[in-house]
Amino acid sequence: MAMESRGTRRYYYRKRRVGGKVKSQYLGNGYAAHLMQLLDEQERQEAQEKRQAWQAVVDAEKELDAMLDGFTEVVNAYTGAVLLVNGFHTHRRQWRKRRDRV
Amino acid sequence: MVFTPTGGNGENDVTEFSEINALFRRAHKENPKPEDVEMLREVLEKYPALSSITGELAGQAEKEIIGHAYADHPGRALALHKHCELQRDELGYKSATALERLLIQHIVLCWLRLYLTELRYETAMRDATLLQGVYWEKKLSANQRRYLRSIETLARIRKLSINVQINMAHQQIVT
Repeated sequence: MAMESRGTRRYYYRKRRVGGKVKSQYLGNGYAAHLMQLLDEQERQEAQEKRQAWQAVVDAEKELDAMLDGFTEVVNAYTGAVLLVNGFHTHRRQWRKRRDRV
Repeated sequence: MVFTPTGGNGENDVTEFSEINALFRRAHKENPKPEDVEMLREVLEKYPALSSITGELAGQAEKEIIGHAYADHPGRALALHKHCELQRDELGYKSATALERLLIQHIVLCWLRLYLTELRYETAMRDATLLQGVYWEKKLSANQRRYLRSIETLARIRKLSINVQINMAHQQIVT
């Protein structure tokens, strides 16, 4: 989005992508156009800030999930190891005591 | 931050866990080779401090999760730590075996994650976009599943009435 020069005058066009094509919308010239440009810039900046804030939330959530996954892995391995060495085995994902073979 | 087992001897703990995990994967099948199970037993005996290391890990994780949520509210953070402690007591942490203690710590961590996600979910849903709403719904469901699984594991272990015995170096530990 920018002011465009046509001859000696400057005009403000708002550009939006619609269905894969860029549509140009004429919004005026002079003081009103300049004001419109400022508002658009502000809106764009706010949207970007919101995107960044959301990305930070997602990243933090991922980090915490990875940490808990790591701990779960430790717990599962340790639990499984202790059970295995004490004669348990899994049958259909359930731990059972292995029967002594005669 | 990816959570890796650290504490105690630092780098060695990661090696210990990797070794146990690798051996466990080899031994954990329909008919495990007796030598694999024996090796697993030897590794557990070789690293007797492992259960205390996992306890440290749980403590670190708890601090990390609460710190992330209440970095600017030390009072709330303290209250939540206290609540975690109470939960552990209610689940019989003090009188539990070593294996059960580990599982109780896991349950409390999963509960903590679920509780904080519920809070985030409620706050976020007031002004969330559709995509963000879906994200929090999924996150909440995943944490609920994780919490339930952790409780089931403890219940199963207790149902098996395991009096698991590991002979560790000079001491016998009943877990």
